[in-house]
Amino acid sequence: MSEAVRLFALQIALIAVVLVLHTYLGLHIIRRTLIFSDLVLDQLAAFGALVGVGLGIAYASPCSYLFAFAAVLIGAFLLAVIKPRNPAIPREAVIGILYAMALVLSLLWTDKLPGGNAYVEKTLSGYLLWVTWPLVRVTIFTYVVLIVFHYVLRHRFIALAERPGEIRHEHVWDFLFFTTQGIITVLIVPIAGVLLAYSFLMIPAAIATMFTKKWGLAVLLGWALGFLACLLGLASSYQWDLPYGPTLVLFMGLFFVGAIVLRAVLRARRTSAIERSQSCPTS
Amino acid sequence: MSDLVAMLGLPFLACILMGSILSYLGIHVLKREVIFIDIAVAQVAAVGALAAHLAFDVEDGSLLSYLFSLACVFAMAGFYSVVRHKVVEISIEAIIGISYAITAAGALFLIGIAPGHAHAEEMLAGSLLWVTWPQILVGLVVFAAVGFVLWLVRRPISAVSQDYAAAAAGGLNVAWWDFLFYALLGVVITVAVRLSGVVTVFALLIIPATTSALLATGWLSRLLLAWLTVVMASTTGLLFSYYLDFSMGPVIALCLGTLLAVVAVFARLRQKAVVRQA
Amino acid sequence: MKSRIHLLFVLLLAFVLSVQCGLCAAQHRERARIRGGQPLDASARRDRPLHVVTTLPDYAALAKAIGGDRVTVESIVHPVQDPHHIRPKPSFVHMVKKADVMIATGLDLEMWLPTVINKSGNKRIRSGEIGYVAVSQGMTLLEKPENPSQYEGDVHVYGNPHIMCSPLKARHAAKNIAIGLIKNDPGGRDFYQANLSAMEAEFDKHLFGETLLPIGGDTLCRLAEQGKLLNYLRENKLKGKPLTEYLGGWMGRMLPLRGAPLVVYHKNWSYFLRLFGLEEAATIESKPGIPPSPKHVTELVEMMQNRNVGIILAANYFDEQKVRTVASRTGAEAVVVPLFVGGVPEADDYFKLVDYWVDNLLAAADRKGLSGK
Repeated sequence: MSEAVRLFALQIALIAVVLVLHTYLGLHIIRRTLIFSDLVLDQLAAFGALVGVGLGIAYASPCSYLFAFAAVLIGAFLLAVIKPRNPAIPREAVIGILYAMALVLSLLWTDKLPGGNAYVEKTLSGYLLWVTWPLVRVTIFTYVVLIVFHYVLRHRFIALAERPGEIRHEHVWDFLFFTTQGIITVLIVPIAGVLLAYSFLMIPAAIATMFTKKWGLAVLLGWALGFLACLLGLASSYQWDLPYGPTLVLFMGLFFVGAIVLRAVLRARRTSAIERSQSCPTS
Repeated sequence: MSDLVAMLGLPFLACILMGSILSYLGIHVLKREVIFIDIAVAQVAAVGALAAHLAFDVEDGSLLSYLFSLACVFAMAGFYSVVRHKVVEISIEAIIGISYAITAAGALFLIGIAPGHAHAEEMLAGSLLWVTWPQILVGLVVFAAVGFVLWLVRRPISAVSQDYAAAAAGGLNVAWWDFLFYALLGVVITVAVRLSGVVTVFALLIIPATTSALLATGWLSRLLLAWLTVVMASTTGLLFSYYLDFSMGPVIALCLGTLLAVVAVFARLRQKAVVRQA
Repeated sequence: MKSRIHLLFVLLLAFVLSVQCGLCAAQHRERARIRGGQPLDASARRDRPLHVVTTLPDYAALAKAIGGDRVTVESIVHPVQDPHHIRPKPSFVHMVKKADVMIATGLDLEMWLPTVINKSGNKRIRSGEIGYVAVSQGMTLLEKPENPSQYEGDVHVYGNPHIMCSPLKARHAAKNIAIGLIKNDPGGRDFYQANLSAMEAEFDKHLFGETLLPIGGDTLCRLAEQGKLLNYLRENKLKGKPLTEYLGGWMGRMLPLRGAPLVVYHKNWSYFLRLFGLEEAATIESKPGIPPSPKHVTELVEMMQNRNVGIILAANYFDEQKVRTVASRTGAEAVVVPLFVGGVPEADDYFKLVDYWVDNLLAAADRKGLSGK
């Protein structure tokens, strides 16, 4: 098998599976308007892996995942528990501050690591080009397990998003949700980097939410458009020698901006159509 | 002692300058509940600088570089204020968050195709230790000008920050005041990011304002408290970074965060004490 | 309510002030230990050692060997750090402030150095002053770019600055360092000269082996630099055998590998490859300083498989995972070595460092069946 075909097959398989769960979780996040919780967890996962590196554990090795997971659990705990009662402090501010602290801790830690500078770029841009089939298999397997878990319990989680405050044991479901987020974060951040992982989570879901409220259709639409964007990104990056991870994000961004424009145009058309029909009463 | 002043004097000045105007803007940002806008704008400014460096081969501190960054920031500001009206299915925060990721990726993309001497961690952590007098002067002039404008337009801007819908209903041209606010914020951030990097600017924007919200509600008290937070965190942060040999910007951000945590605990304890007394 | 806030202010202000006082006191104690700016005299005995600060650990190792007790030496860059991408720290400024002599490459490798020197206010060691020693002085460099453009990557405009990868250039560097030390401490001239001569003899022995030393170290080095050494050795005979049979040291050991293609991570090995006659088949980086793109990696892997390139050589401050991934995809041997003295515990001086490189390369070549051609 030619190297190029091998590379493409690997990337496409990984992205196709990853996008399913990311789109679904992204829909939750957008509805609950907790936009940056994932960014916090991503950065904490990166920080955990970096702590591991500082202690002599290879980046993206199984032991490194444990460190990342520990950091993410702490983050999930803080996110679920810190709910400022002060009306002047929006919850988003707390999340933003947690993100800044996670980023700052990563930067300060790498200050002391020899060769630490390279790690900052590695955690941001990711490593997708270098994944091997064993790693991809483990990732796909875990994702499939989580997809099944979430499919079976989808009504509970959807209730969490649509009717917060009404369900019993809300804290538990909250924690489970954030833990799912945490697990995929730990798996995907070392490979894809913080930015791409976040884009996988947010962009397909955001595009879908602009056009439909139905969960099933949204997952399908988001997945399809996200996957298409990534395919184009992969092809362009290959063809024109562009940095791989950032190119994928930029293509998804392009689709996102396109969706916004389309949404605005459709809305304008609909509004003017309504106005026209109102000014010409038919009865 | 003179060693200390020689090393830390300019960075301290830079922090005070940035912190004073950023914390004021931060109080607005908290009220408007668009927290991540700073990080998104700071990223856009950084991308603008990179693009200028690559396209026109300009030095980082040159006027053209600043103007190019500003142009990108204004484009972004315009985008946000327009989109806020046109797209209601997803919150503006989602759009800001996604644009942050996209612009950060854009920066890494530009660094990836032609690195020059730009590096991701420098963009984030800044180089506060090496700030120079010309940079401080630029900062002073720009921040003073922006501060003056903000003072002039403080009433309409505050009205929009307090309650967007009420201000619109009251007849204010909210789109325009929105744009002005984001544009001014953008100018400040563009200049501040050159001094201390994306993360420190974000921390100086959000954290003093949040800390002040825990202790007071009136504009003036909040502003004074925010300024006090800036001074304390900057002093402690600079000293710690000097003696323990860390990058200055991130240490200051960490001190801000720690201070916030301490005040939060204090405020919660005080609340419980008040409840018990009642 | 208000009084509580005031109390809070006072407490926090007191805390900050006490922290400041404590740290100031610590700093006063520290300053007492630092002695700087004393005029240097030309007498043979020094009342205090010459304080030398170097950018790279290799220069520090050489300076210490030449300077002995007359110098104290510190290196800014850590042995496992990438010298291009150092984030300058407050401690650098401290180190540089106390320096009598600054030893740097003198090209555009340590781009962060001028800022550090300016901030320290130490005028003695600015580029062009007596206290600044450019190790690359007088060296002929490889890979001077014709059209330096940002799109070609992190290009070094004066030529490849990674001179310490070649023992020949390192020998020349030692001479430049000795000259620098003598300039700044004339009283130690004889001492430094003697140490330099001893070191040059060490270099010659390690490079060429004992037997060929009578030809003269300078001659041998000049021939090697010009690429004419092997021809010379083949044409001249001793006891009926061509001199190549008597070639020992690193040059002798690396003879079987001459002409072999290698893949390197970054173009820092150019001088090493040239000295030992190895070919740089490709770099893992797309362009200097630019991480590899998908197409570059696939083409690299295919090329390595087609040409049967068996060895990848990389400094250990680069991302080892990338190196090993390429190695596993192509069946090549990954040789990941420290670039600087002290990068691994065994390599605590320059000679041991080069020994480490040569040993590991030869071992990898053995495993691939490349040596013994």
